[in-house]
Amino acid sequence: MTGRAPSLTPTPAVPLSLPLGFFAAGTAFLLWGLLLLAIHPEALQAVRHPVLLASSHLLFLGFGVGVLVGALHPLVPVVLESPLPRPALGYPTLALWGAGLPLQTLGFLQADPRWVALGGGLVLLGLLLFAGHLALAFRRASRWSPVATALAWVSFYLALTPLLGMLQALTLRYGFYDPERMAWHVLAGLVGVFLLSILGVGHKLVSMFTLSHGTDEGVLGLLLWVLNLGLLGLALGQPMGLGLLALGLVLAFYDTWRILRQRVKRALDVGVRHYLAGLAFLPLSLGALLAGEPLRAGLWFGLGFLGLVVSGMLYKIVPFLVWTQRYAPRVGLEPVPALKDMLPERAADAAGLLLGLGALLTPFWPPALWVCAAGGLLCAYALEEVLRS
Amino acid sequence: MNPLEEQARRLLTQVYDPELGLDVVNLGLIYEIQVKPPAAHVRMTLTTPGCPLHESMQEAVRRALTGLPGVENVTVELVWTPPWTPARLSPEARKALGWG
Repeated sequence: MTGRAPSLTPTPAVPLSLPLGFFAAGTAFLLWGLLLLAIHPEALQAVRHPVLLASSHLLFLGFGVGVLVGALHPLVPVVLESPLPRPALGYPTLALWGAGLPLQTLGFLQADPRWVALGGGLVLLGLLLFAGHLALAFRRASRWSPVATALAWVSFYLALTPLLGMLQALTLRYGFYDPERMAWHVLAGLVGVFLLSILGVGHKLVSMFTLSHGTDEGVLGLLLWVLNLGLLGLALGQPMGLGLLALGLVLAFYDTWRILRQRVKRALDVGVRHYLAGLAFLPLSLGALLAGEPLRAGLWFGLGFLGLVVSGMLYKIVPFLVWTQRYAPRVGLEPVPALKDMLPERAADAAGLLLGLGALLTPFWPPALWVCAAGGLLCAYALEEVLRS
Repeated sequence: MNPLEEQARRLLTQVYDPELGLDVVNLGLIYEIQVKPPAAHVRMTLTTPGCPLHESMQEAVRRALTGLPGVENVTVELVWTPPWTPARLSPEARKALGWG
């Protein structure tokens, strides 16, 4: 018997400008956030400092969410094995998020909750539209897997996180402000959006990039349960939540080790190396949280884990998207470059080294933020070279 | 295998997976080639279901075989059974991937 591949229904493909638009804006937000914090290192003295609020939103909501949403447009059809229903719906999301975040940032910098709420409201609308689009895609999925479950959770938290944040901004202006909601907002973003998406999508991507075969997705499924329960525990103020987060990290490392053990491609390329270096910041971040150092934990999570993992994945995704558009029509007719030939690997490696070193040192020596900023600039240069290749 | 099918196999060694830098023949992705001019038929797979390269690779295989003499119609059938495994890699491919 022959298992014929299901033919895809004639649905418009994801245009290259959509993910690249998210990536370009996300990288610009990363540089803005890093420079802002490097110029004002005194912001690290207080967790509610306006500059720290602005730069953390640029880093997480700008760079992290921007790259995530941009990458999910081409990635969701791979995970679900069915196309996105309406790829063009990504453009209004890009416009709302891209316009809303600068307004929100200016609102933080000027300590004006109205601008924070207006900008956050635009971002929320964009992300609700994206979550709705994903829900339509989930209904049409040809295949369901723990990776798809991770994406379903991520779409929920992508809507919940800005909703909680906007509630904070509005209640700060009109009353009924509750500081505990800030912790929910932060937890939903860091654990619900970033940890779940990176570990879920990372399982699929690292398997593909290393040509890993035979790793079942059972550990990933368990990991999703553990992290969600841990998140719930933390939101309810239960110390057991931290224990579950720690268990989730152990499972994540075990899952990654199994993928790498089963890999067929022996050498790890720059994107996977950065992904692994980023994962190494997770235990550091959790340790800092356990030690009662939330700012240190946030810096290692944002600059180290998120910065390295996301830039590493960009080094894989951007060349692939550009190759598909520019060179795929010529394969079989003439020699075309391989993906690794399109990326200036030395620049990408140096960017990772600077990002990692800067992230490690920043909690102890804030001028190291300039090292991070230099890494961000090199990362942007490497990606720009891919576009020119 | 007739001479045209051998020629088809050689043409397919020009179709590279851009991520791995290896051609579809050495990767063991080609299950069957039939060439009976004016038609040619290829049955192939990919390393993983849902591979984002599936359309590019199918089209590249089709394009490569249009260079066969007398062939006007190339069909490429993508299948998942039997699934691809690393055992299908050629010795050259295993070496290029760092094993051996």
